[in-house]
Amino acid sequence: MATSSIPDYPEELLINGRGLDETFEPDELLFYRAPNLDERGKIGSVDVICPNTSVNRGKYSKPIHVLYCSFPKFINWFVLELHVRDVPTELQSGDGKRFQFILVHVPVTHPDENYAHAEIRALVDQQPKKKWSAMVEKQFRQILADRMQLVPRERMNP
Amino acid sequence: MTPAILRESASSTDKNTRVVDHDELFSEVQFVTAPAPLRADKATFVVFATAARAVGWVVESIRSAASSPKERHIEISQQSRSARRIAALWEAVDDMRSLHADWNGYGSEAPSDFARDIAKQILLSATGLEPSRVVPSAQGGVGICFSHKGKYGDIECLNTGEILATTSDGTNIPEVWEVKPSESKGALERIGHFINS
Repeated sequence: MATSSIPDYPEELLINGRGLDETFEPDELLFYRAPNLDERGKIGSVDVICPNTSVNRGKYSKPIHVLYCSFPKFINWFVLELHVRDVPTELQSGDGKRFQFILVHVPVTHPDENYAHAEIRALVDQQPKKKWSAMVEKQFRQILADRMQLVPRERMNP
Repeated sequence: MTPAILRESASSTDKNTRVVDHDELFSEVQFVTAPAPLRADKATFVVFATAARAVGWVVESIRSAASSPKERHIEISQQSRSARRIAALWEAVDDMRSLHADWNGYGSEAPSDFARDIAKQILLSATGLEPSRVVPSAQGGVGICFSHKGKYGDIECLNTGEILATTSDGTNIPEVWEVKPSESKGALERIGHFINS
């Protein structure tokens, strides 16, 4: 059963009894949405949230699907993409603490069913951390923003 | 609300005084400059601002322009454009009060009153470095962004009370530093130097 208010909701976003897939190949694309871009056609750290940065996996969705959340609220937003290999693996805070970053497959059922949903999470000493150093967060967000590219219009077909 | 009285420089006559009601969204303020030969054409400034400080800043810009009679005409035009831009950005920050939590579907907080106030103060300092955009921060707060020739910088006023700044050329690891409210001019200068270098 499609749990979405969107007519013709994409079949590939439905969970359909599928389990988690924690294999993220370096070439896999991740999609993120933003309301506006600067003159460079890019976003900045201010446009990226962390920790637990939400993305859609390219392995299980098309770029436009990231705009289907709470349809049609974000349908005019921009879609940006980066590769799994572009996510920094580790950053160090001023006090020498090491933050590792991992991708976790987190299918969601609310507000719309989305099997492709994943999150970038941080670990400190192999333990999940909900609150990081604000400076590390900022640096991490800017690195992600720098590595994200606008998805070209011709690839925005449903 | 008490109206603000805008006065021009000492050479002005009483005709140069206009009253601007803060409640007017599109207040038109007319300034008649000093007598000939320093006289410039009547300049009309459309002020997109409701807050007294924004209006005050516009007046201050005009005052400083009026202090260089030789280039007055050009300077007034440039400063007026810059002032209008800052006033428009100020208003954009003000409009963020209508945002709700989870405005981006990623669970972000709406900018707090505190973050918006700090952002507006910083905007008033950004006289020499025009922001490219102001946005609600996905991290919860307000972002003031600058970009030029592929380089990027921002000052982010977070709901937590922290103010963070960054510069990035898009390739190397970005620089990040904390900004105290009293140091915002220094942060703007550092960003300006970076993106214009």
